[in-house]
Amino acid sequence: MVEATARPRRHRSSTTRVVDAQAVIALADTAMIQILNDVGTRVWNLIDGHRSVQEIVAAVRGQLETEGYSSVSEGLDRDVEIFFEDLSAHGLITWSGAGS
Amino acid sequence: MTLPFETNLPEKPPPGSSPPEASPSDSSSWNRTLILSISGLRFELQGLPSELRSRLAVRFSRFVVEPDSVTRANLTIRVRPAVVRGYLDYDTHGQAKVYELETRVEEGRLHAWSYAFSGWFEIDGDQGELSLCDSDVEPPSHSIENFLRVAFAWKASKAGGFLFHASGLVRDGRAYVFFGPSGSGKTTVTRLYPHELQLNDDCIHITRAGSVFYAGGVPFKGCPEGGAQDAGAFPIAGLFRLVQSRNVACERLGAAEAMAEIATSVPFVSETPEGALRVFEAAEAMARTVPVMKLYFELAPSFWDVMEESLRG
Repeated sequence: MVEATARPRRHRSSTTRVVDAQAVIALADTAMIQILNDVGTRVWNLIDGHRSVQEIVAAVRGQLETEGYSSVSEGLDRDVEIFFEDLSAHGLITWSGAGS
Repeated sequence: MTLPFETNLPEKPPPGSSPPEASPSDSSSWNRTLILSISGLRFELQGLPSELRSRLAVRFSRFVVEPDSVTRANLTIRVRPAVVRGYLDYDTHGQAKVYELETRVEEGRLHAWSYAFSGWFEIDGDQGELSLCDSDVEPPSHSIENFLRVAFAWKASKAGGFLFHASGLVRDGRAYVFFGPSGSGKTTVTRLYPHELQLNDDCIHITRAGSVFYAGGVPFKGCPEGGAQDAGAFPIAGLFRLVQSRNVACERLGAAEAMAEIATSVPFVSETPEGALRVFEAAEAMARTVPVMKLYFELAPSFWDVMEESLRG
């Protein structure tokens, strides 16, 4: 369960490069590489250790609705929560503030 | 760390089967030099014993160059006998064991060690040291090759290219590069086409000149019969990520997936954030220039026509 007020932070040994709107992330400690889709990339780009989960969700929802993807923003809260659980399980993020 | 390349430890030779490569007890005889030019990068090994120098000159014959007063080595490595019997523990309990090598970056140096060697080199500088044990598990010539593999990977990355865990064949002056995890068929592919020039069965140096990417031979082997048949560099026709399958097909990868697949096959350097970023930059540039495909193939020569047709498409 991810707390809405928790603040995610990218793992210090992660490296990111965005290619054609897809984030490619390498985690040096584990030699793992992940590719994120469009929404995942938007979320990842907003992770800075200061923004909370709910702030990130709101920002992504704003982007999608501005670009005309209102239907995609439905269910976004749950999708992003699952996404953060996956990122945490793969060691790509850590948490500060109210923990998960 | 278990290495991605396909190097298994040798069986212990029977007594009297071959002479020892070096005797660390007589350090005064460790005074020979060997210079290697590998795909545009120059490595100077100083302080070798005579017999080991001779053995390396044969092993790396296509890459040995004579010293000159003008060309400066990218890395000079001072070799010396180790004062210990070994480093990493080698204990198979009767089981085959895949080679292990450890690395660590500390204060601008890359430290690397395995069973019978320990060394370091300056990541941004041109100096290094290597201590060798007198070992049957990892003979000194193997130790030097494995240390050079790490050093070359880092120096190649600093120069804008990278060491790629892949095999390569040259046809009509163009390189066809095959990559994938251990067991995917990289070495097997090269054996299916013995009449083509083999760049290497295990790793290749990728470089760039303007918008053209080249695959160059390096002396590092994946198996005793492997290694480079040519020390030159050839423009790349395509990169093929191998997937063994009953059907033969080629599927072009998008830039992000191609970049990720390429980066996964770049050993050593990707272990630090700075190195990973350099690899990402080079991999993306290559993914946007060179066709990168998933090649579904079975272990028969029939896939080459499918490959060529995909490149034309």
